[in-house]
This record gives sequence, C-alpha cells and structure tokens, in this order.
Amino acid sequence: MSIALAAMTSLLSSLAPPLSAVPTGALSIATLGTATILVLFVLSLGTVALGAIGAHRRSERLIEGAVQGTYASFGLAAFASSLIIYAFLSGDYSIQYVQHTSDAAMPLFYKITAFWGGLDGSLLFWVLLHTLFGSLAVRANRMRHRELIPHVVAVLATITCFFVGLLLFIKDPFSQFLLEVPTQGKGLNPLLQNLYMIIHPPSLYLGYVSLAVPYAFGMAALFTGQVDAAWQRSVRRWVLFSWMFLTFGLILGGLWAYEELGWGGYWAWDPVENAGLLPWFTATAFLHSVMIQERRGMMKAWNLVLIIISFLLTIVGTFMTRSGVVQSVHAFGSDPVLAWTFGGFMLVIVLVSFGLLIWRLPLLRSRGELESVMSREFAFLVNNWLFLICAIFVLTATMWPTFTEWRMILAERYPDWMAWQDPGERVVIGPPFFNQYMRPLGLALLLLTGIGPLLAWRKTSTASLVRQFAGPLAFGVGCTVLPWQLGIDSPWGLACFGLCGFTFWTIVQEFYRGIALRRKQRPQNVLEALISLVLRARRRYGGYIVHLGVVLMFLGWAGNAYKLEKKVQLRPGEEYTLGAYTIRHEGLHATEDWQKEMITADLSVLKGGEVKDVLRPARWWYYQLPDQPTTEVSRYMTPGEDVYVSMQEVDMTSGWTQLSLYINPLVNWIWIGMAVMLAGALVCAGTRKSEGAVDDA
Amino acid sequence: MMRDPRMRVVLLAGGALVTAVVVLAILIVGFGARLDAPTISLAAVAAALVYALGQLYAMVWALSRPDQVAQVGQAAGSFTQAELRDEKRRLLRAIKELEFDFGMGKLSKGDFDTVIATYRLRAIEVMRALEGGATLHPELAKLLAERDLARNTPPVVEMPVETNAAPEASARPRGPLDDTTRICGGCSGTNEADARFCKFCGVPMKKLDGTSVAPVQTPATGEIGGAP
Repeated sequence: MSIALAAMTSLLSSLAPPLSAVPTGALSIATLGTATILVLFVLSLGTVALGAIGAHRRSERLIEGAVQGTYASFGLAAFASSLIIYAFLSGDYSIQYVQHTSDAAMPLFYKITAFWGGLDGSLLFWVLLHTLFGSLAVRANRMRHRELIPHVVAVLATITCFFVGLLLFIKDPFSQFLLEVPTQGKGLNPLLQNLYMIIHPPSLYLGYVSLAVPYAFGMAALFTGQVDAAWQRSVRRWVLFSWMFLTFGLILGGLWAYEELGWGGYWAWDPVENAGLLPWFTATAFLHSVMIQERRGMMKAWNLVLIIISFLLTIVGTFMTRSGVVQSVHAFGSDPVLAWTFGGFMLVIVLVSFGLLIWRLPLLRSRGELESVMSREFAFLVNNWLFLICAIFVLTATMWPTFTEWRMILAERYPDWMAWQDPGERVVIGPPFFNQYMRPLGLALLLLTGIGPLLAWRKTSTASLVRQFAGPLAFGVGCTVLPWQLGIDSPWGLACFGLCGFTFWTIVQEFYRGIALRRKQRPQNVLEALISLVLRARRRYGGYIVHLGVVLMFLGWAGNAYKLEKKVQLRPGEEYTLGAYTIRHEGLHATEDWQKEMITADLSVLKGGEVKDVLRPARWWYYQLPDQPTTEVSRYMTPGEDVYVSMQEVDMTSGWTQLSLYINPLVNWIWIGMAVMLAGALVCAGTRKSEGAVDDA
Repeated sequence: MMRDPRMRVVLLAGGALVTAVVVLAILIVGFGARLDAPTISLAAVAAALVYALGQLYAMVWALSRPDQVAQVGQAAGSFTQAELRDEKRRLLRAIKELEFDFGMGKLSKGDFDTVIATYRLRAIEVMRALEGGATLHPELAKLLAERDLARNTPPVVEMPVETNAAPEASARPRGPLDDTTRICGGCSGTNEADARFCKFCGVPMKKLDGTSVAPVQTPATGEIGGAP
C-alpha cells in the first residue's frame, strides 16, 4: 500500500509538468512508469507465492488474496499502459521509446497505436492483455472450478512475472534519455501507418496472449490430477476465441502485405508470418481433438500436449520476432540478451509442462477405443497428425537458416571440433520450398475437411459410404473436369478445384439432409428448419460454416496457379495489355501534405475497349524517412480477379513510370472466406446458456 | 465489508469513472488546460490509478480476513460424481448423435441397433451409479430387473474405473448429491437442477417450474464428489 501511496503522490506531483509538455525533474512520467512496473513485478511474484501456498495449505484467505492479486496486476498494467499513452499524446520525448516511435505530426490515432509499434511497448501491451485475460478467466471460472483456480492463478502470474521481468530488467519502455533530451520524435515507420497495421498486430496478440489461459488451466489440471473434462469446458471457448483472433490477425496481415508491400502476393512464408501460423495449426488441431475427448473420453494426454505446444509456440513466435535470431522484414532487430532469456523461459516451460504430463500419465489413460477406421474419430486423428506435421515442418524450415548460421559460428569458434564437416553458408529457404511441401499437406487437409463430416462417429456402414460419397465425388470430379476443359492445366490447381468442389458438396449435403430430417420430424419451413438446426447443434453446423470459409480460401489460393505478372515501363499515353485487360497510362501528378510527398499515376483499366476503372498507384516519401519511400498499391477488384498495380520507379521529368502489373485470379475469395470462417466460429462460440441447454438436452 | 463481487466491480469502475471526470474538471477549471487528447488521457491515467489502487486494496483486504479451509487439494483421481455426470452427458449426447447420424443415413440399421444398445445400457448403468439404486424409478428398476433376469446375469458393461467409488457415495440415504437437485412433480424422481425433462417419466421440467418442482439446497460444506 505504501508503494501505491507513493505512486499516487508522485502522480500528483507530476501533474504540473505534463501540462507544460516536457516533464523534468526526478518525478516524471518515466519514473512513475518504471516504479509501476517494479510494483507489478513484486505483486506478480507475491501472487505466485500466494496461489501456490494457498493451494498447498488449503487456505481460503491466501487463495482469495492470489485471485485479488491477479485483478490488481491488471489494474497496475492498465495504469502503466495509460501512462505510456499519455506520454505519447503529450509528446514526452524524454522517454526513449516515445521518441523512437512517434513524432508530433502523427495523427492522434497513430500516436495511440504507436504504443505497440515497437519492441518495448509491445511487451507492455502483452502484459496488459495477459493480465486482462487472466483476470477475466479467473473471474469466469472461480466458482465453477474452485479447485483449479489457485493453480491457474499461480501459472498465470508466473507468466506475468516473466514478461514484467523483461520490461523491468531488459526492455524498460519508460527508460529515459540520460543526457540530452531530444525535442523531436523520430516517427513511426511509415509502413506501419496503415489501418491494417493498427488492427493486425493486436489481433494476433489477442490470439497469442489468450492461449496462455488454456495452458494455465491445463497445467492446473495436471497439478491437481483433475484431468477429466472439467478443465476443458473452461478452456474450449478460450481456444476458440484465440483461434478466431489468430485467424483474423493472420489474414489481415496477408491483406496488409498485399495492399502495402506492392509485390502482388499476400503470403511469403516470412519467419514472423510463420510465427503466427504455428500456434494456429496446433490450436486448430486442439479444437478438433477436444471433441473426441468430450464424446469418447479418448486422447486426454494428447489434448494436453496440444495445449502445451500451442502455448510454447506463442512464446517461440514472440522469441523469433523479438530476439533477432531469424532474419525477417518485420523482426524487431537483433538482441542476444533477449534471445537467451526467451530461450531459458522456453526450456523451463518444456521441462515443467512435459515433466508434469509424464508424472500424471497414469491418470490420462484413454477411456474408449477406436471402433473403426471408417469413423469420424479416425478422421480427426489423421487431421491432428497433419496439423502437427505442418507445424513441425514450418517451424523447422523457418529455423533452418538460423541453425546453419549457428553451425557456421561453431565452426569458426571451434575449428578443431567441427573440422569433420563443411560449415557451408547461411541457407536461405524461400517460398518455393514451403509451397512445395505445404501444398500437398494443405490439400490433404482439405480432403479431410470433406471426408470427416461424411463419416459417423464410432462407425460408418459400408453401404452408407456409397450413399454419402456419391454426390460429393461426382461434384468434385465435375469441378476438376470443367476447368480442365476450359484450358487450365496446372495439376495442383485442378486438384484444388476438385477438392474444393468435393468439400463444398459435402457441406451442402450435410445441411440438406439435416434440414430434411428436421422437417420430417416436425412441420417447419426450410428457413425455420435451417435456423433451428444450426441453433440446436451450434458446434456441428458452426463448424461446417467454418469449413465453407476454408473452401472459399482454398479457391482463392487455387487462383494463385494462374497468376499473371509483368514489370513494364510506360509513359503517359502508352498502353500495355496483360491477359484480358489493357492498362493505359493517363498521366502523373505530384502532391504533398504536412507529412509526406506523393507522386501518383492515373491508369485506366480497359476490358473489351471499355474503361472499367481508373487506378491510382503512388509512391510516398515521408519527411521523417525520406530514403524509405512507400509503395501505394491500387487495384481493380472483381469476384473473378484483381487487377493489381504498384509503382516501382518514377521519373517526373520524362514521365517514365516503372510499374508492376499483376492479374490475381480469385484472390478476393480469400478475404470472403475469412469472413465466413469468422462467422462460423461465432456460431460455434454461441452463448453459454443455450449451449448448456443443448449439452443437457 | 463482505460485498458482492459484482458490486465491488461496479464500485471500482464507477470510482474510476468519477475520478476521471473530477480530474478532468480540475485540470480544465483549476489549471486552465484545454480539452484535448493529452488532458483526456491524463484523466484516464488518474482513473487507471484509482482502479489499480482499489484492486490492491481489495487484495490486502482479502488477506486480512480470517482464514477458512478451501475446497481444494482433493487427492488425484477422486472425482467420482463430476466424472460420472460427464460420462452421463457424454453417453446421452452420443445416443442423440447416433440417432441423428442414423436419420441422415450414415449408419445401417444393424450397426445402429448394436451400437445404440450398448450405449443405452451404459447410460442406464451410469445413471444408476449416479443416483444410487434407491432413487431409481420403480418402472425403470422393474425394467432393469427383467433385463437382468432375461440374461440371468447382471448386465456386463465396461464401467469406468473411477466409478468404483460411486456406490459409497450412493450408500447415503436418498439425498441430493449435487449442489441442487429437483424432484419431478410427476413421478418424484430426482433430477439434476438443470434438467429439462424428467429422466424417469419424461415430463418436461421447465413447464412445471415454480409449481411442483422444488429446488433442494444442499449444505455448502460438501466437497465435490464425496465427504470432506
């Protein structure tokens, strides 16, 4: 309390300086912020101790203290975050982080979001979200799962401790300039001053950070030995929300790359993108396998493994992004101290989690057994293996260049030991390598998406197999043959179209038969039957809607096989024809605002001699970073394809404009697919009350 | 000061909000600040501080309370009732799903009959273990007895290992095992609090709500799944 009072007095004494915008003296926002982080660190340590001792002594008092400690740590994190936002808004450039990531000319909105624009602030943002989710999860479950709560609190507070420790000892966002306080900020990287970038990182963060909650519940279940389905009921919804945020963040990241970077694509298997994808794979696997445990009491240990790995991968992802061990366009830069700290933390997680798991293995025996290979359980099992293979492959391929680099360093340092082998060079693994392996894996998963729903739980009769598969197979074959007849010859593209058709028809058939069955049971019209069907079995039909989104996304990816691209130089008045479209250069114009200079080209898009749209790609030079011009893409969107133009070089005197032209077929279905997926996930999440009714019905 | 937790949240949030408004007023009236983003954010800082201090106070207050034994630390593996209820829910859902899948034509009649018979029997067994023989509806008991007679042996059903402890729990005289149980107005069978239909006579419980279905409260001291 005395520390808190000190904090209060220091805030009161700091009230006056902020009004004059540049705080000086010992009690500044920076000092207060650092002090808050210190208090938060001590509080988290105390919460860990209270939770652990409270559980051990069965002391209601200590446990309640630990629970309140969790809430209080959110309060302190919110206070520290509000301080740094205040520093941004008032332009307190005595704080290094504020000076590095903002300037006075930035719009208000970007000033606020600069909070998570850099490394130090993003760690504080992490702590804020983590404590928020921790508080929400504890509040929601403390009555239902009393016996798990002290352990959950202790695990969550340990994670808070780690991240607050990072803030306190390595990356203090409130650290000040000791000598000369600059009067101007450096400004946020212009690439990050974009609407997607405001939503995309927090969305990924929400997914990342919220995975700590299921992990904490899993660990608590292992600690207490209560490894029945109870812990999962608390976390299933969390994982679903994490999954939604991860999906949203990943695809928004793709959309950002597509609109902002100007290379005509949306996914380049960049290490940081992969870092977001890894926990997505395992979370998706968990969402499927948890159904087997719920229905059959099987795969208890496996589900815990998936939760542990998902959480671990979020830490691996953070490590990859922030330590500089991998080279990437959007890594935060190299930092060996951070790398070792994260490495140590990951090691502790692995040892403790899997140690506990092995200790509790006798309790995790399976209740049921597979009755038939032709069952949905088995399809889920294969699905789980494939997702895990995807995760392992992507992780290995992402880290491989780093491994080769380490080998080189070792060979340099210990030439005698390593003489037996050729150290080689730093290997670069590019998108083609990933695509080569991920394409078949993705298509196999799409196939399973189609097959799974056709199989019944437990056992599918051979006779009904024919009845189930006939329609989808016929439609799938049709979807392969038709594009082939239309002159499309890429085998991968054709396979993808066929599988999309197959899976699509499965979903339609499931809905159709479900509605028919329901109408047979009670008099309802089609719409009523559809709604009641979805509401009665939210998770089943919500899942099908998610699958429909997956099909649409695959359709978009299939279009990638028929992409056209060309780099051209045009002068005003000239034309270039690419595919069915003609691009005509109408002229250039230069403009400027208070932040940047802009050169914009006007390009008409013609199809069949008719002007469809006028595209305006541009180059922007920010005054803050004149040597890093940004590329502003312009595109003409249709359901069938995108005409996508970015400007590479421009010469205002002669009018020569170097343009990259792309025709990306079907690409917009990816974004539509995402929307459908999220809608389906929302149906799955549903409301607790009605779900309880279905469960018990 | 034992307040309702929800009340505490409302008080804290309200206090923080009031602080924000007061600080904003002081800044504008007292210091002549303009109503712009920095000023508003300073008010938000003050609100966050009040919230954090309130939570810290709640923590200190919780630690200053007299202690009592918490309902934690059960030995591993002793989760009979919760586990049984899970098993029951799983079996009932499995039966429902099987019926649905059969209706959709995914199972042949023969397969459906074999598989669903096993699940029905297991569901009955689990319910018996949950309620104890005493609370079985007479009709159902008769049916089971007939089934047993017909086979000349009790139904051999693979039961979960954990259910071994169930008879101890059910050895108590017919009494509520859960937090709340409801008695069906139609047949006096004991049902779970959240049951929508009586599992003995099939009468919808919801319609009887408030009239003949009386919630029965258990003493709050009971641990989950057995005696403390």
